[in-house]
Amino acid sequence: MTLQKFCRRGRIILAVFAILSFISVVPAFSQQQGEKRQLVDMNLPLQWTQGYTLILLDEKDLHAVNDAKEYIEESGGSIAIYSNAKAMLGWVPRTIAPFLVGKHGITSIHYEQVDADALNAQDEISLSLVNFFNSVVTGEVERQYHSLRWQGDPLVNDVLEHPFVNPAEVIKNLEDKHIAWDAELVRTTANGGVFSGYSDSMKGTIACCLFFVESDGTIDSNRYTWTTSARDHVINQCLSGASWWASQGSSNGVSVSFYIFYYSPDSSAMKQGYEPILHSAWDAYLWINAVMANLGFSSGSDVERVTSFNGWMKSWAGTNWAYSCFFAYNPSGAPSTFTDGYFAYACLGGPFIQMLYRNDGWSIYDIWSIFAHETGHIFWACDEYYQAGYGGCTSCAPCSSFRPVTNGNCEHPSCNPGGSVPCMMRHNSNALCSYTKVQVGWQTQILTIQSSSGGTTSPTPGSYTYDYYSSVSVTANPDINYELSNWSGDASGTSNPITILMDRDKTIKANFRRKPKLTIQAGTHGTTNPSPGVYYYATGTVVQVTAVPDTYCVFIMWSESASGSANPVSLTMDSDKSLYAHFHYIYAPIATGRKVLNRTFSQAEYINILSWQANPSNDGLDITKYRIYQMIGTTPTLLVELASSKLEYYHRKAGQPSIQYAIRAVTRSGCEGAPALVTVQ
Amino acid sequence: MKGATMLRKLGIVLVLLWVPLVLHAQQATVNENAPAPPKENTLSMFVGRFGYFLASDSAFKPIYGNGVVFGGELRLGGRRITGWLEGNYRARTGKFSFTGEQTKVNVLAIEGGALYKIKSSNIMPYVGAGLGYYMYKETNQPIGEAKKSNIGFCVVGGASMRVLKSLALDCRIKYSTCSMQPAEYKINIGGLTFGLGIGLSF
Repeated sequence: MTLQKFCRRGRIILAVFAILSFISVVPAFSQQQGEKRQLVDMNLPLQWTQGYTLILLDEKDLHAVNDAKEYIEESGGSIAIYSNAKAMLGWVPRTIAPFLVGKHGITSIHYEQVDADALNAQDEISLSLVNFFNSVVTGEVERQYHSLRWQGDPLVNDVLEHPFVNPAEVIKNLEDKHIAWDAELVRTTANGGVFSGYSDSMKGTIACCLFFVESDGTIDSNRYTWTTSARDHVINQCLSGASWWASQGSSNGVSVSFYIFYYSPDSSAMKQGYEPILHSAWDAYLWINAVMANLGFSSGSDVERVTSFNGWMKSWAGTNWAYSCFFAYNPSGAPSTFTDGYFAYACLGGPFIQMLYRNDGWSIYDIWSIFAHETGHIFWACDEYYQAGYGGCTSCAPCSSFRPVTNGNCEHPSCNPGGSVPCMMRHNSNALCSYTKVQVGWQTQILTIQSSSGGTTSPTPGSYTYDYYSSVSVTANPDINYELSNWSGDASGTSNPITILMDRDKTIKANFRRKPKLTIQAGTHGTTNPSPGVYYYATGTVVQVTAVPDTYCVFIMWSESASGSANPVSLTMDSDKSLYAHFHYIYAPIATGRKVLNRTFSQAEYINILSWQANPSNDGLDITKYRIYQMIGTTPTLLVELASSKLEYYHRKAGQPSIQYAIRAVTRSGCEGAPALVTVQ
Repeated sequence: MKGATMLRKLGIVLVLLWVPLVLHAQQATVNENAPAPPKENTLSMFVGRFGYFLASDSAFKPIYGNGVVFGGELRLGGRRITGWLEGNYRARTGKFSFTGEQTKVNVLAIEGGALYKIKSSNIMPYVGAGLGYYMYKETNQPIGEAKKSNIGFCVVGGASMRVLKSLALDCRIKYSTCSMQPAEYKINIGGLTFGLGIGLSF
């Protein structure tokens, strides 16, 4: 379609919509009762059905299925739907099909209707996929799309804020299932809970479980019971909705594959006491809690239980993301809304959708679009509906802080006075606006990382694609003896790692520089701590170097980048620096000794007189005192400490036996010199 | 135990000193009813005395030198034999042999015995002998205190000359000896004392 045609068709659609809006004088809920209106955009082509392909496999082992899926995608095909089944759905160019068959368990590839009964894949999900495929390629889906759809009540107020999820409850549920909690998925919300982390971006593989909730009459009367045809219809509609998103993704260069499975209404897990349609939509926690408990997820609220289930499902299916959809049965004759008028809603960002079989005025052939619309909410797409008197979006403001994208297609006049464009999030249209694409994570931004010499980065320098508004952590890894100088480009500062918010294409550069070098040298008679050598320190580091004299030696002074005799010395490494530590040997004094008798008339003592002279070799040293030790064996015992002006010492009452003394010069810094050993007989 | 020994020694000295006095008292009692004899010069008197001491131990003089001694003496007796009881005290400050630091010595002696008057005239020469109890204490800062007591002997010779009716001059030489070992060395704290006194006779 050319742009002119598109615009012309858009103007026609807008005109029809304006007329319909003008004649709307009663609230939409009441409008839809018993009224069937064709969708305004139903003539938009259902492109995803073109080239729809069935791939049959020889086994349904999940590992084998994933192997085949990857092979097809690497070969140029794309997979929309897969499961633990012997069938996959997607789009495989006819030209490559012959090369795929026979490899990676692919038994056949079909573009035309196949006889499901003739297949050896008799499992329920495989048959569901084959039957859906047949409905697509026979044109049944196309016919339903163009003929059997009518618009019901607008899906205003059908999205709840992302709920509080207590991680402890999720962890408990997952641990009960022996699944480790993926801490990377925990992100704090504004209210202190966590984002589920299971539906951040609609890209890659998405597990989706359909729950066909069934009442067993134990609490409410069991008024409505799912029929197989109703179940299969819902499955087919959901497969349509999933295929639609996959097709949209493919058209936008994004791989989207849905891993679909379901719990049939006859499953014991789906049996619970409530008949949902008899309740308010906000009572959904009653049957959701019961269903989750049946499946073994019994801790916490409904959102915590379903979050846990999604985590389990994601782990089990090996997908990137996961969400759940609960269907309540309300056949003809039953109300088409819950008791409070609601019929379909989803939690923004997950974890679940609650829908009905018949959704307030919407055709049952439009379940796919409601499912697709709510799936958009699961992946953070904003509502673009606005209905006067009902609400919806009221401005272009982002609807969440998770990926705060402008809601530029909101149909509120303040945002789009000239009218908004068709979009799945606005009127469930068979189209996507540019804003929704960004909101679901399809817009990517390019981060170009560069580095100067002297280091690299993690991720390594290059260009990388990241989701819009994702946060990217980039770590600068300097080479040895190098350091990060700063970030430049779209980043600044010296934080490492640095977090880049990808709200646009960005280029950042890590600039490295050699660390300041410290060269330490020591003269004779001592060393340093750190020992002499060359060291590199981060700029600004305050380095403390201690001079360590040898025994009987004294540190004299620093030279080069430091001076004085302070020990240790501190250097701020703001540039290359060097240090030289000077030491001096402290020579022993020149000493003698003698013993004398000192008596009175009746008393007496022996005095050992020690005399010494300063050693001329110590000239220039600041000898402040002498220490006299008495040697007891080889152990010196300090007798006295004398000022350096004293050059004689009387050891009183020394007794007659010979004594050995050690006399040592002591510097002002407290270093003791070599001992002069004197024995007094 | 040590104090008890000293008291016992002191008791012995006092007994020995007072034997002559007792004998003299008995003599006086025997002659109580006899007619009063003509007044005769006796040695009975109280003598205040000072003297000059020459130590007999050669180690004493280098430390403390010679010096003055003070004392008092009571004589009671008859015509020839007179009991004698004396106390004297000498204190000296000296210096250590090498360091020259100050040291002090104190000797307190209590001596007693008998005197024999050789001639009775205005000048009365006499000789005597007795025992003494000698208390020695040496103190100094570098080493500390050394203290000891012991009994020694002494002999005296001298003369008293009456210059007034009740006043006499007394000149005396005394030699004493007393050995002990209060600290490292065995010492003799006796020596030769040249004494001069003034006596009040009664």
